[in-house]
Amino acid sequence: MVFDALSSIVSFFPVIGLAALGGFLGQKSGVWNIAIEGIMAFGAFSGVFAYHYFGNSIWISMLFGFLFPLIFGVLLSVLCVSHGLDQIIVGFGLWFLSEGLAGFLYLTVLPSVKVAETLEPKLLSLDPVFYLTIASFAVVYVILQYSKHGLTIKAVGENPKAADSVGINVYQTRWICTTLGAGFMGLAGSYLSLVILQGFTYDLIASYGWVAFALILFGRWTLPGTFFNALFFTLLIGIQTRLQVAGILVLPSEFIVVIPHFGVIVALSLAGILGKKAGMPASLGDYYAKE
Amino acid sequence: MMISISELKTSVKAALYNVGILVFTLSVALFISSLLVGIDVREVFGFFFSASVGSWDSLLRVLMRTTPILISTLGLMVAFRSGVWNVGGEGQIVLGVIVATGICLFLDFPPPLLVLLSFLASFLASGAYGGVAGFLKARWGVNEIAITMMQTFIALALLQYLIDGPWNWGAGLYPRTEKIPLGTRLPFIAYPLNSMFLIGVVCIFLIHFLLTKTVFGYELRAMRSNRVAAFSHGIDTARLTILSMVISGGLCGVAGTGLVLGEYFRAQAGVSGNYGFYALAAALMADNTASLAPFAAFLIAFLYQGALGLTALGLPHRLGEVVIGVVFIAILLPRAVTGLRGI
Repeated sequence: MVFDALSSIVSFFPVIGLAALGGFLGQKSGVWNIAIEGIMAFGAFSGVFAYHYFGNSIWISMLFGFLFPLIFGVLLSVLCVSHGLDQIIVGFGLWFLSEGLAGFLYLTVLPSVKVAETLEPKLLSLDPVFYLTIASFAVVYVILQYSKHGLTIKAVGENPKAADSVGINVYQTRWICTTLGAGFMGLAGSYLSLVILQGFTYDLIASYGWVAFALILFGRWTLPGTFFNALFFTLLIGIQTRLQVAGILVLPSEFIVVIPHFGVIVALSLAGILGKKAGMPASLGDYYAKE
Repeated sequence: MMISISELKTSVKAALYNVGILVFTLSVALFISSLLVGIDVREVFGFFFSASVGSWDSLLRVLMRTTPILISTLGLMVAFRSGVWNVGGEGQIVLGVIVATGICLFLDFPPPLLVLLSFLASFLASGAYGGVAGFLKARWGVNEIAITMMQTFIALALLQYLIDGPWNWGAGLYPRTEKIPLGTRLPFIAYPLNSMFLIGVVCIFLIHFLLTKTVFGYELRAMRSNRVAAFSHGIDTARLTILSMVISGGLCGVAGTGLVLGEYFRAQAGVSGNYGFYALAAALMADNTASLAPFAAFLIAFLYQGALGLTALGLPHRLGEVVIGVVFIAILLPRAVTGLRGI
């Protein structure tokens, strides 16, 4: 009973975890992607779109939930990594664009779709995507810590000039990280729409993208930090939803809804008070201009 | 203001480019929409333009929407000028709505005093709200984008709580408060355009003056271009960060008050109309220049109102957001640092 409740709470983990992983990847290479919220919405739409038009398979649909949003990673890379536009400004533009497109296309090309299928097999009543999310954190961790590619990514995020001087292609590295990152965000959104909500609705991301963005920051740009923060906020969100569903209202429901947001403010402030901006990739947000 | 010929040429060029982008994007968007829903393209164009600029009434409506966007745009510019990302305009507007509604509904003062108090208190409350984010950034380097965004969700939840709970009017189909007293409502210039519009116009000059003609404005620019250098030249960057956030949030609060006193006369769900987010786009499109703010705000209000008109054809109003997103990014393109690099 307790166990069931717990597994149903952590079943939300892929949504927060994959989105944060996507944002983390880009930031580690030195690129802010603040359009997480919108790209997740677009991924959520893409997944349901693929489910309806390309055969009813959740797995294939999630693949498209990963593939379609790559376009926003490419756009961000073209505009910011290659052309040196401000990453934050472009990020806002992409947020508008992706979320607007998702909502617009939803009403024009997508009839109401109900995802009937569920993901199997389940282990401890959690579906494979949950374990794959943990696995992808592990894979990214191993790559970052123990491989040449990981060193490349970190070098590009910290000191692109030095990286360039030893023959690393700064642009290519940032392109790959940013684009893959957008894919992960889309995947997170498509998991939310296909598996958890079993369909697309307006504003389904409900600020989870912004929460994912924030927890990278107070994870101080370490992957374990991001992972555990994502897990912790999954629990917060889960408890929040549970409290509402169970009708146990110690507080008005509007106050319970914002528990994660308060949590972010407290966590970010604490991280700031305790250690400045320690861990932030030194060239995060800076355009690299090759001489 | 003296402008040289070459400057004039560049700005005319830029304006032509922006208008071209707008016309192109809008046409493509409307054309695709008509294909997707199978409605005659002429009808789609007709509905869009008749809802936005087709009649005197609809034009007034666009101007009515321009007002809150304009005031919050000017507010956000103050923060953006200093390199501080206040993205919580929406939350600050909502807080202004809450404060103004609360004062006008529950305080027993003469109406003119209530109006004055509403503006003052909402400026202070929303200013303080923004100021918190400014303080956290200045003191401990806490990321202001995340904080102000979270503050927005909290403010929206607070409004929802108030209109569902203690301030609920009990009548009507959807949760909302009672209407504020007649005496506290701002006069209309020409219905539906209310006198907040004039306050918006005054704000353009005020902020233009503040940003370009004062030491404060100069310090903001200095801080944006190089925080460390500004600090070492004796500019108190911490104070400046907090102050710019206070002014920024405060103006958004004023915009919120305007929505209550001039347009809705009450608090209800969706009263802030995402104006805070649109203002973000407007401020960046206008390149943080106060004199361009009215154009950017009008442009967005025009797209918003036109897209609303399309809902009569069964098209989603999100079309407006899509067009804004594309135009926004396209307007940035000339600011690209260099040609294509890398891949």
